[in-house]
Amino acid sequence: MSITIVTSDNEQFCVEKLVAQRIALIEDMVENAGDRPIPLPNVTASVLRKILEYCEHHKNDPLPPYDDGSRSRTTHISEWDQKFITVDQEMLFEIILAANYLEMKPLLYVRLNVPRVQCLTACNAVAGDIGCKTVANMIKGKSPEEIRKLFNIVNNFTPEEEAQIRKEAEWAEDR
Amino acid sequence: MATTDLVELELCRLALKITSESNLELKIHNLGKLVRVASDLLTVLAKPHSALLASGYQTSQSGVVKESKQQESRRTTIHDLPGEILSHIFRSLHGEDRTTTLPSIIAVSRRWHTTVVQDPYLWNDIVVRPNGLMKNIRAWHYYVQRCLERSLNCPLDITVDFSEVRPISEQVDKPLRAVFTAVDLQNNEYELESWKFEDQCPNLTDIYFDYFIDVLRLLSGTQTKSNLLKTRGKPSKKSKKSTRKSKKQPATGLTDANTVAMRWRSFHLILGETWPSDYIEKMWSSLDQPTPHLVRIHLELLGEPKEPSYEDDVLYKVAFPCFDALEEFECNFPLELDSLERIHPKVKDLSIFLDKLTFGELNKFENLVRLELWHKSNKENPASDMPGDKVHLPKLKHLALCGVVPQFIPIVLTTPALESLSLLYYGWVELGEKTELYSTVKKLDWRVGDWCEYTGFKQMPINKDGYPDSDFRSMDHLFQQCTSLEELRVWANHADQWGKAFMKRLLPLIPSDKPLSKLKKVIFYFPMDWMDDFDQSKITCSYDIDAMRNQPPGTELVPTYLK
Repeated sequence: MSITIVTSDNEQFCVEKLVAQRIALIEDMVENAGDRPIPLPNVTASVLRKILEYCEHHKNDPLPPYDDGSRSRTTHISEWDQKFITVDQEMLFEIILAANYLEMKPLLYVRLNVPRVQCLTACNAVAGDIGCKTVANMIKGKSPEEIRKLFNIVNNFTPEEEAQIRKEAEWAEDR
Repeated sequence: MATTDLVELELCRLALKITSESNLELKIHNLGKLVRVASDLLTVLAKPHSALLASGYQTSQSGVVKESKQQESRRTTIHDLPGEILSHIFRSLHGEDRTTTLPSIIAVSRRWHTTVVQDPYLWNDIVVRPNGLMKNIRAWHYYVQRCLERSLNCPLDITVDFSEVRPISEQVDKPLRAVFTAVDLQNNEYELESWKFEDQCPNLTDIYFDYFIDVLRLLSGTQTKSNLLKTRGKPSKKSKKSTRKSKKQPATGLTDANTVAMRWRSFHLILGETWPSDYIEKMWSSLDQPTPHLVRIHLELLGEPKEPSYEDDVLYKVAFPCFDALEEFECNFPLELDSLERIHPKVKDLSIFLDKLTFGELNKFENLVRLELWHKSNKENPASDMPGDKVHLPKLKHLALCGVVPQFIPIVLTTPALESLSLLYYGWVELGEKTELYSTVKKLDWRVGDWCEYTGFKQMPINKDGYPDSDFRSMDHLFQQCTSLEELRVWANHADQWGKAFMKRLLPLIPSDKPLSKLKKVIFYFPMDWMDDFDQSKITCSYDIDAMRNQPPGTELVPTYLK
């Protein structure tokens, strides 16, 4: 069984239901939609194509376990996921925004606070927080100036504010 | 699609979302969307359908499309991410050292600074990693204060890592030697090679630890005692005011010292080899506060696993306060647990370096689901450790045997619900004769290496194929007893990376009338040279045993190769 999705730029995608069900937003809408196409006014065709590629690859993965949202944990990004997310910055942020809109937490982030004994029984439960983790990896180990340059961010602190922030971060010195 | 369909679908989706989520979790962007769609719905209800299509809603929709097209014309950047996602990006740095990443992040821009400072979950994971420099103590004290304030009422995950503390003499000697060298060039009266700062000031390291314990007191909400941290200057009028004001507020952050320990969720203590052993008890007493929400304790001693002869050097005695909620307890060195009964009622996950004094006490952990058992028994005379009673763990599903494991341990453990068994880590395991322990195991982790021993059938001819002598012997003996085994994971088979020699040896055991008749899959992991590499090991290949059962005899073994 398949369903039809219409993107913001009016492109139609015929998607296998098992694949589409990886997208929480669509899963919610599909029962009420019947045979009608499901509109995604906030997602363009190029981004949806990427999202569906992810869903197709992970269609048989178990869904992430219960998440109380109180704690993030980094998870290993599989080789396939790494290759999938090797895109330019614009596409990366569009994927993150679309994943947020589509409520695809595994693609966006994984927030787990699962005791180890639960993880042992739900093996392979973590699909990967590849979107946010990729941006986090880009940030990691960089100085504020390098981060600004990487993402084209303007330094809008006054010199006094910068001095205060440096003082606040004294604990990280001499390490 | 008709306009009303769009509205209806969006409303249904939001209604579903609202009913499936608690109000607390309802995100701001969803609320905004809800208001917008509700407004659209009112428009829909207020106007005849035809009129609506002709003007109102249609216009609104085309406006959205136009705006969307305008947005398409410009690049999406990190500025387009809402604060909530930005926070999640920063949170996903969990596991990294936030003490070094947060200073960079908050200095990028005002927006990033605000996002970081206002997200309590970026401050509730407190990692304190001192390096032994005295001036650093104040900075850590300040950092802990900030974390406690900014984490508001969030549960606290605390890591105190002393592994980077170097003896102060090491840090002071180098510059002093440089000075003395310069002096010596002129006077030639110092014997530089024999000079050591520590000899001159032997108590400096002790003084450092004495002061640092005050940082720990702050973490547990008890009073700071040393003068070093009290002499930061008199509080200004402004800060006095804010202190008075904070007393009126509900207990958050630092405002009520007693609430700090109440917020502890996990505590990870890492000790380096330079940590003076007599400070364990002193440090522990500084943390001695009721922690009713603490669920995890992890005590870790870095360095080589200790041989039995070291036991007197590392056997610490610790009195535990009451841990009502504790579910995970992990300790990789011998630790005499005083009042063990205080921690056992809810513990589900236990990693413990066991000695004969505490083995029988495992019976009290009746809710255990996972047990990692390190044993330091005397390999030469394991029988001397044999306890009198059996240890019955009715709910145990996952067991890892590590260290020096004599045969009595598998024999005396009764675990009717056991599903997975790990024989991975450094040490020596004596399998012993037939035991009930293995009969329910569905998943077995087996590490190749001359470390697992079954002493029977020593004259049996062995075709080694790159495996140590005892491997196949002990493997045969073990597999004969694993009659429920479904998945076998083989680690560190360096000499047989694709597992072909191993599989040839295994084949006679897999037919339906043989012990491994339920085996479905064998997976080979590589490399794993040492326990630190465990997480980095990757699957190299796997064999589908069900498929192999259906193949005619003599068919070549072909694994599924995985990169």
